[in-house]
Formats: sequence, C-alpha cells, structure tokens
Amino acid sequence: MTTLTERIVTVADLPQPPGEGDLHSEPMELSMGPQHPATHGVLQCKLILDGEKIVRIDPVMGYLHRGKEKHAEHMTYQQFFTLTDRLDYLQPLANEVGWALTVEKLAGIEVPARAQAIRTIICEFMRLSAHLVWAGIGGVDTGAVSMFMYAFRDREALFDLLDELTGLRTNQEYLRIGGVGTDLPAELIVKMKAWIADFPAHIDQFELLLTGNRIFHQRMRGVGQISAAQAIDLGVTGPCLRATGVGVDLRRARPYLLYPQLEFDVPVGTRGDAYDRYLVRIEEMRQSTRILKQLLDQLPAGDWIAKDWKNVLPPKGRVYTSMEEMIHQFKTVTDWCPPKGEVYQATEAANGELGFYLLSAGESHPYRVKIRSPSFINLQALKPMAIGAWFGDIVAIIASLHFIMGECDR
Amino acid sequence: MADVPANPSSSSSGAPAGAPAAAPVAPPPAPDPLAVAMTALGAEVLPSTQDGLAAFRVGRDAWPQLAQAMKRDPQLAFELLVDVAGADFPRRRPRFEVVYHLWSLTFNRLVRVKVGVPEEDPQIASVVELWGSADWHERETFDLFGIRFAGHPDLRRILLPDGYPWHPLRKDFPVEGIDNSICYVREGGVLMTRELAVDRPAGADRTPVDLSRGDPAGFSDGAPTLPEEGAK
Repeated sequence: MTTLTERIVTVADLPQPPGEGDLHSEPMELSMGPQHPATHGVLQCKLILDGEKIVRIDPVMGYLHRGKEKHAEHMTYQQFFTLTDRLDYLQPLANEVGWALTVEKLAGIEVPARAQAIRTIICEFMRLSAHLVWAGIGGVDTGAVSMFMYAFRDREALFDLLDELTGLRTNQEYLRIGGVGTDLPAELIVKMKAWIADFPAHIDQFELLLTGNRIFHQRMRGVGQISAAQAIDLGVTGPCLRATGVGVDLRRARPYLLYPQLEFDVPVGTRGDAYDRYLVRIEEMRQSTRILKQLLDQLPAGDWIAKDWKNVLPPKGRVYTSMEEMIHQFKTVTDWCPPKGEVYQATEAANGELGFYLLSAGESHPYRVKIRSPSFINLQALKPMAIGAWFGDIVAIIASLHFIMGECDR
Repeated sequence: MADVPANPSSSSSGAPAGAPAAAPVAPPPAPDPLAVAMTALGAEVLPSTQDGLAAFRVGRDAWPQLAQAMKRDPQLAFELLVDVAGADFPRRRPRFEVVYHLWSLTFNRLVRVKVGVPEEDPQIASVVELWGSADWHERETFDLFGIRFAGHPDLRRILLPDGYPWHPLRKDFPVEGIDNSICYVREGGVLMTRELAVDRPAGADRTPVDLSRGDPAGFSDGAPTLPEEGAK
C-alpha cells in the first residue's frame, strides 16, 4: 500500500516563466471598429499586437464625414446652426454658442446681458450632458454597467428641462444671431434650480460607485498616461490636458460670455492617466453646478435677443402682425450680409477648444469655415497612450479620452 | 463669386491722398515687441481684423525659420499649434493660403500666421517636427485642398477614403459633389479607383466643373497599409 504524501507547491517551485524577450509572438493585425461599441461611434483602429501588447495603432476616421465645411460655404449664417448641432451631438447647444459668438464678432453685434446669461447657462448644462454620457459610457466600458443607468437617469431629467426651454430634446437649434430663440421662463428657472440642488448628491453617488471602486481604480490608474509636454505638443485641450496638470481653460484664458464674472475653479490632475481624466471631469461637473447656481440666482433682466432688426431676426409673433418686422424678417433671412473680414473664436467645449475660423467675403454665406474640433485633435493622443499598453486597456483609454466622431469627422 | 481682398481694410473709402491733416497727429504707439520680433524674422504684419488677433503673413521660403523661432525662442514661446486651415482663392496669386493659429501658453497670446501656396506647386514645409499636432492638421489640409506638406512623415488622406480623386474644399469642386461612378478596387494591396461604365442620359451631369485646375494626380499613391511607426 502506497502512502500519500502531501506536498505544498508554491510559486517558487513552478517552472520559471521565460524572460520577457522570449514571450514575443508573431505580430497580429487586428481591426477594431468601425462598428465596435467601445469606439464611441465609427472609429476604426488598426492595431498590430504582439501577444497582448499594442505595438502599433492607426486610427482610421472619416466614416462620419459629411463635408460640413463645404456645406457652410453654401448656407446662410443662420442655416449653419443646424449643422453645428450635429458636430458634438452630446452638446449641440454649446456648438451653437460657438458659432453664434463667431458670427457676432464678425458683424459686431452686441448681445444683451440676459441672452448672454442664458447662453452661459445652456453651455454649462451641455457640459453636464456631455460629461454625464461620458460617465455612463465610461462606466460601461470599464465594467460598471449600473453607472450607465444612473448617469442617463440624470441626463433624461436634464433633457426634460432643455425640452421645455427649446422645444426639442436634442439638436435644438435654439440660438439666434444676436441672442436666443425664446426667453427662459420663470417657472423653468425654479425647475432648473431644483435639478441643480439635487445633482451634487447624485455626483456623490457616482463617486461612491466608481472613485473608490477597486476594479475601476485598477482599470484606470496608470493607464493611457501622457505627460504635460506631450499633451501640449499634440495640441490636446480640455479635460485631457488639465488631467496632465496644465490648468488651461478657455473660460479663463480667453474669456467669453459671462465667465469673467463667475466664480469657479479649474480642476487639474497630476498624473495625466485615465483615472485623472475621470477625476477632472467629475470635478468639472461640480463646478458646472456651482456656475449654474450663480447664474440662476441672479439672472439679469432684459431682452433675450438684440433689438437690432437690421441684423437679427425679429420675434416671430411680430412678423405676422407688423409690416416693418415682416420686411426685416424677409431681408434678414434672404439677404443678410455681414462685413468682410475674418474671425477666429474658440469656446471651451466639453472636450476642449472648439474653434470656428470664419472668412467672410461680405456675402450672405461664409467664404470659408474651418471647424477646429477638439475631438479630432485630442484623438491624436491615442497613439502615445495606446502604444505599449495592453490590448484590454484600449477600451479604457478610449473611454477616458472621450471623443465624439460626429465632431471628429465633421 | 466675390473674392476676399488681401487687405480687408482697404475696401473702406480712405481719405483722399493729399488731403490736409485734420487733427494734430497723435504720438505713434510704442511698437509691439511681438510685431518687432516677427518682422525681424521676415513676417509682414497684417492689419487687425474683427477678432483683434495679431496676424502675420510670411513667404513660403521664410516660414520654416519663422516656425522654428516661434516654437523655440523663449521670447515668443508658441507651444501649442491650435489650428491649421487651408483656404482657396481662385483669383488670387498665390491661389492657396495655409492659416496657422498658434497659442503661447506662457504669454497667453494667440496669433495667426498666413502662408501663401501657389497653385502650380502646391507645397509647403511641414511643421510636424515642431508641433506634433500638425500631423493630422496637415493630413486634413492635404486631403481637402491638395496642398502637400514637404517632410510630413505620413501624408495620406484622413477624412476621405484613400484613392478619392478630388480635393473637395477647393472652390472649383461643386457642393453637390461629382457624379463619381468610381469603385474602389484592390490591386496588389494598393487601393485604386476605377471608373465604372454607367450609361447616363445626356445632360444628367450637374454643375459643370473645370477640374483641369484640380490635382488628379494627388491621390492613390499611399497604400492603405499601416505606416511605419516613428520613434514616438
């Protein structure tokens, strides 16, 4: 009869894995996207993998290219709002604000204080909307599926508010040259204030789910790290730049709207990795609620559109009853020509610097419009972030970088 | 189509030459140190436009030295290349213009630099070595205008498919597109375009376009394979 002997096997007893140099496999080409759900739209990444390590990445874009810049040359200035909505479709109104500011700077139109305040309010609501989608989708991408439900619950409530203001949930086309389409009614301000009062507690909830979550931390910490110098070299702007420790925010650096009068902090990270990008965006949501609270508490009274009927669309109600206004409406729609000149105007969109470079030949349509889209430029940082990373991390990197292909491809 | 004048302020009616000076002449403002530095590097100061940015024009040959100085000189320190935009002025010479917007984070200063590019030789020096972000900016400008960037490591189309025959942001490209009955075929690993024989009723073509001005050779020289990765 044989006796069974017990032997405890420890790691040290196992055959040692060969050195890293021996682990290389044959390079494998892998195409990720354009229909991959984690590429946030229609981005294709051609990857070369060595085992599980990414050695080369070539982002392929253009699947959503609609030629907006070409179309702009054949549209009137007011018509182009429709196309700006569909740039970053998570924050349509913020894109509209960028275009309105550009055209107004060209034509020298003064916008009343109340219209500016309403624009600032919708810019911050749009930042929240974009960051909420980012938080929800980023949660799904890293395995926290319930995050999606919490974030989209708040986003739906936010859309209800905007629906009440503009008549549409998304792609609103609410901005007008010289102001906004309708006034912000008093009862809606009460609802907005109630939403804002609740929201910080919801951010705490998100943080409870993610910030201290060990799995989330391990998926994001140290992943997709870039230095501040690299980020500046690649032209990265917005939360991705601030996560590297560069506190550059266009709301402070090249102020527009009412931002110079508002109190808010610009959060910065320290390491420039995916986790810092997450923390910066979470803190930006808190700062946005802070800005919104200040604005809604002291919303200036007055006009919501400039009463400059040679340049601005008159109110619709008056168009049907007054001859003068009807003529102005007709002239403004068919034949409004801003002066010759050129303007570059940038705003701090949710993803970074959204700029419009506009050349005008003094005609009813722009001569040339160049859209400086933050998603397009930030996407260049995917290469340094992904090379050398594990294949499994690419989804976390894409989620933390957060680009919108509608804006990227234009 | 009206053209944008090279100097926007010249369109306004100025005082007739030889008119007596109406007011006592104010002392000339102190020259802007940025303008002085840029002029020394061969740039011409452009009149300010509605956005009040400092704007400069520089020749195609002087641009690489100017770009080098703008990036490296600590007095200028333009660390961030914000934007590169092409523009097409068919009646101007040179026909194309590449417009750079550069931002100095140190001084929080945004400037615009314009470089003219002639139609006969649509080529300009690449600045990828100085600003990494120029990579995709320049690919996009090449894609949409057909302006080539000499020294770019990987000048391929970026938004439109490889093998697309035209550069659509040129003014002679119609907005409704060209009835391009082309298909994409792969020959020896290279993506090529081939015209399809489609019977079209006479007169079905849309706006006639003179594409002889275009750059029919500026495509399909890049195989759609992965490029060699640089040192980055």
